[in-house]
Amino acid sequence: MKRMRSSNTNKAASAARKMGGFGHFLRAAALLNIGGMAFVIVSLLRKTTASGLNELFASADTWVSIQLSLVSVAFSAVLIVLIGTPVAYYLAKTKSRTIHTLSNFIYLPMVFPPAVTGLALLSAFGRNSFVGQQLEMFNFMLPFSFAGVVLVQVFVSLPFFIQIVSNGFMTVDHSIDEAARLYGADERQLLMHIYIPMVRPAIYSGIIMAMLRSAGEFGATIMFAGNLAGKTQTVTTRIYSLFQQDIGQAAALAAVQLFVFILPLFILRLQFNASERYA
Amino acid sequence: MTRWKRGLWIGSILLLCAVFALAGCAKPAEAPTDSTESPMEPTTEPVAAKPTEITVLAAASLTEAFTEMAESFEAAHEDISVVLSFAGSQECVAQIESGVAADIFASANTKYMDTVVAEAYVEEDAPVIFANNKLVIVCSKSIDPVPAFESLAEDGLMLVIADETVPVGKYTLAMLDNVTAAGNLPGYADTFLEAVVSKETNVKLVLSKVEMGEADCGIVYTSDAVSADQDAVVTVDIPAEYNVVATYPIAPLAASENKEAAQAFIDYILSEEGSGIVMKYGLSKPE
Repeated sequence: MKRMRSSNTNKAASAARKMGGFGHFLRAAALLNIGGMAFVIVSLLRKTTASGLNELFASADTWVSIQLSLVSVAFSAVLIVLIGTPVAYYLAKTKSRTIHTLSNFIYLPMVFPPAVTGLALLSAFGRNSFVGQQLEMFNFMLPFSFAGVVLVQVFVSLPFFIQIVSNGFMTVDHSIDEAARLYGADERQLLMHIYIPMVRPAIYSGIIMAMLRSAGEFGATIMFAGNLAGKTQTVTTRIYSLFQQDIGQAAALAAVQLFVFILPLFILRLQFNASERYA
Repeated sequence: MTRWKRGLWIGSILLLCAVFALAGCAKPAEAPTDSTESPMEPTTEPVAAKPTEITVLAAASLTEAFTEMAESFEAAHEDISVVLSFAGSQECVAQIESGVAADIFASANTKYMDTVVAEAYVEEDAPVIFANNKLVIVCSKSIDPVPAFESLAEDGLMLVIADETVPVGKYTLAMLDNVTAAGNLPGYADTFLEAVVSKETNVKLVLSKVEMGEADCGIVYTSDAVSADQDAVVTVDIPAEYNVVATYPIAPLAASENKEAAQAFIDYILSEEGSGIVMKYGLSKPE
């Protein structure tokens, strides 16, 4: 184990040497970046106290927020797969220039500032919007509701899924596609039996990315869905609420979210990325 | 030029067009209200020739009053420029604890001032009360008829209040406790809390939700109601026997490097002129 690590270090050093003086600079920059990230995470952990953790989990609201986060992320992930997969497939296969140009709009939520997303969703689905008024006739309201939390998550996370899966679909060899067609496969069969099985790692990777983005959603959630324990408060919005009162508890919950949810998923995603690359 | 690149170009051009189209058809803003201003953003005042700069960390509910206060103070003191940073009181405390370079702290709650005094960021006898604030109900104008305080919880209304982690949220709960203790309205507090659809993390967010009509009524400070969009909301008084008075302390920070200039600003706030501005924005002068 020890030997392996030292050989890896040697490899990095010799790679740097090969690139000359500038190579050392690049290596230093990368190490600085990694070190900076480690510093930030360790700083968060240092703010976390045992008493903060105890108080945190003594509160029923904490458990409720964890449950609400998990359930809402699961709901939004299902919706994202249902909506995103056909869209990603169509975008990967269409040759229409107009569609390719228009498809840029799909990715807009990735670069929307949270406040813009929140305001835009309120304008589109708020109580005074056209949609909101139709829904109100059925006694249904999106703002301040669990459905609102899911809507925000789908809105912000869908483009991440579509982008990853669409790129995955594009890697499928055209000859396989043609062969399947020759045997009489239609578009639906192609998608279900050729494309989806072939890019499974990309789909998993897309789902995880969407879940990570959903779990971290804060600004638009607090604007559109509000912040009420047991109804719309997620772990992320709870961290913000706690931050206003007790930084120890806020840091504890942040650490829990990071180590129990975000990092495991993040590492899992790296696995899928690796298997995708070497497939 | 690949197709992908061209697509990107066309996409950006289309986007620009859409933005201009939106700007074109947007209704001209009616008298802009200060409440739309982000309370988190520090407001930098125009700077004269090399003035002393003092930074004031102030509670979000002081946004309007202190913005005008700083302007008129700077007009009288050309050698001092005031930088204002508004956030929830507890966020200000967090900023002070993390060592932000500031000169004055104005809190919406004596508790948070006590915290920084206990941690020696402020000298013990430095804080002075410069204003009082009270709670008031704001209701969206789309609600007809405007509910009375007594029927607020019974009309199937959607209420928003501030989270109990921020002062105004604590006062809201204290007000409900007062109602329960008085005994005239049995069950009021419970039905009220059941009608709450969201506990916002900032008093300005409570107001925005009511102004936008997403919620029917909310509880804010009188100072927020004054700055509210009067075309969108109406205020309903909370009976004095239940209402809660919030006291606003202000103090220079011990680590300030501009103590004289900081004291000059505090003196101005406590002066006749300063009190006048405070009252103009719905706050009252402490007795």
